[in-house]
Amino acid sequence: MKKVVITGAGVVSPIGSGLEEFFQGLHNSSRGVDRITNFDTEFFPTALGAEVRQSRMVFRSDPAVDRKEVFIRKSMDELFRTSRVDRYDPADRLLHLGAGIDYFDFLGYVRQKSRRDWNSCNLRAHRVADMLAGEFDVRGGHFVNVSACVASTQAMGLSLRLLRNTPGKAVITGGLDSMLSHLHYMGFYSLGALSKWRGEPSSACRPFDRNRCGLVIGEGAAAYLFEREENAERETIFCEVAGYGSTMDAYMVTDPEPSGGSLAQAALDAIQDAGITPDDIDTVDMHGTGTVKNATAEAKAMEFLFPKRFRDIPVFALKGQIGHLIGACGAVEALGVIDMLKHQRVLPSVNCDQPDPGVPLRIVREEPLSMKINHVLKINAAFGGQNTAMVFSKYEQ
Amino acid sequence: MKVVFESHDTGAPIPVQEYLKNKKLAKYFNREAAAAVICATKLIRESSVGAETPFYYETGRMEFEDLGLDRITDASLDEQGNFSQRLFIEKGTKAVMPLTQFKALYNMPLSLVSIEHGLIGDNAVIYASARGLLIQALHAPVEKKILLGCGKVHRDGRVESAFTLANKEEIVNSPFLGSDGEGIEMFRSWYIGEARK
Repeated sequence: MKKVVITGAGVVSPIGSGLEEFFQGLHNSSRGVDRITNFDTEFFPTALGAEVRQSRMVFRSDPAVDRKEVFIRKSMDELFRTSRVDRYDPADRLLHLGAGIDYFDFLGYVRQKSRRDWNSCNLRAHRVADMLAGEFDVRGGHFVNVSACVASTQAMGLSLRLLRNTPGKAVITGGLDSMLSHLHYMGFYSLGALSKWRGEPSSACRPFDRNRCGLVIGEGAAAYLFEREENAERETIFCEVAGYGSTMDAYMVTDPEPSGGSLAQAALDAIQDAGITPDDIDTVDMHGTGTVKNATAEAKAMEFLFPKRFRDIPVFALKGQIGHLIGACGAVEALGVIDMLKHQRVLPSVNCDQPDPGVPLRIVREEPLSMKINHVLKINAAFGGQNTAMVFSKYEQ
Repeated sequence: MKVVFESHDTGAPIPVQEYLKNKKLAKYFNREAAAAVICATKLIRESSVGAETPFYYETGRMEFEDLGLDRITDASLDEQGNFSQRLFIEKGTKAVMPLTQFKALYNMPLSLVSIEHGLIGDNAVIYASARGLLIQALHAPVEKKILLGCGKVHRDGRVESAFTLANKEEIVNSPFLGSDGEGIEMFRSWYIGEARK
């Protein structure tokens, strides 16, 4: 089976924009969660979010602007500036992104005094892909996955499969999202999904902590260049994308399947796809939303996957730093995986101050854990029950 | 290749309850999801669809909104007709059920069909692209029948939904692999083609 590798990336995130700033924020355990400042939250019952920052300043935009469109354009701009994607003929470049719900300019809609036009206030993600394909000269096809919180990992998974089967192509993949706007934010609040944390805002997202109390919405984008190993320039390779699996809970719309069996099956499929066994996995990058039910389901999945060592295998979750980026979460979190493979250390998960005894996992806390890392498992799960798993491996010729 | 194709006129009730085993799911349905469950159920009743069958769904560009946006808007306006943030929080956000947020998610038709029929296999939701749906299917990790579905809410409120079971040989030469059309156009062509046989 042909190897697929990552040879370029670009990112916009709540802990920094551009790879250099992002990795600096990652290494410093920077917290991107704070009170929302880009739009007016007066009277909002809660107003915590992880807004995109550049040079430590929140990225500001007019309410009529679809922030996620701006974020993915910036990410792709970095990718095209710093990678060798230009070696591919435009007809051999494909674009496959994952995105959340479309942007809707609610305030613009409300202010339409005469007949309101819903369509004119929408910017659809597939239209964003149309525009980006034109701007970046991607002529091999473009499409968007909209599977909620696994949208970007499903896009990356299909990109892996596509490249294995198709010689001579390159895929620009990743994800984009921003739900930090009136309707989407209050929609999540109405569901009771948002963090009820009353302490410091930066501590509001607490994956696997015993006092975890809900998710914090984040925003951002990441873009990657996926190539076949045979076409890649060796010195540009970040890591190998070794395996992918996807399953469905078919359980409930609102909750993860509590046994974690379906999530574990996605992981087993990805591990098998990578040609390895669970014993070969060195560390796991968890979904880790900071909700009660997510943590217990993920712990069960880990027990299913690693029956003898689920208490010992080091795990990590990034959402304490960047919040939940929904349609972009897996793509941005994958940069944490790349970092772990490069530096051979598991990063600490922030805000897990008191690990939950009911979640018997080895969550790396406070300091990075240096260790030999060849294979990282990355798991994500979506509202509605979709699960994805990917295996990223240290590149070896 | 059997194709089930359904159309529901604007405002006409979509009788999904008649097709549901799991009646509790009904509260999550928007019109596209309801149409998708009816369509998928009709196909699955006549076909053999294993639990691990890959299932890919294309949601068309939604052109009509019926989730209560105008109720939120109207409740957020003051006496002069201006937007009031206080009214938005106090009344606007309460003008629709909390579960509306789920109805707005694009993966709900796939999720609800999967829950109703116990489908647990490889899956994906592609946005407004027949080509994307076909590519997803052509790179499925198995060489057997794949469940493909799509839905479209048209500007006039009409909802169309279509489902089929296909193997890779049946779709590999589709002209829609080279087009930017939506899934519903592709399914309509398949449906007409089947009807002519």
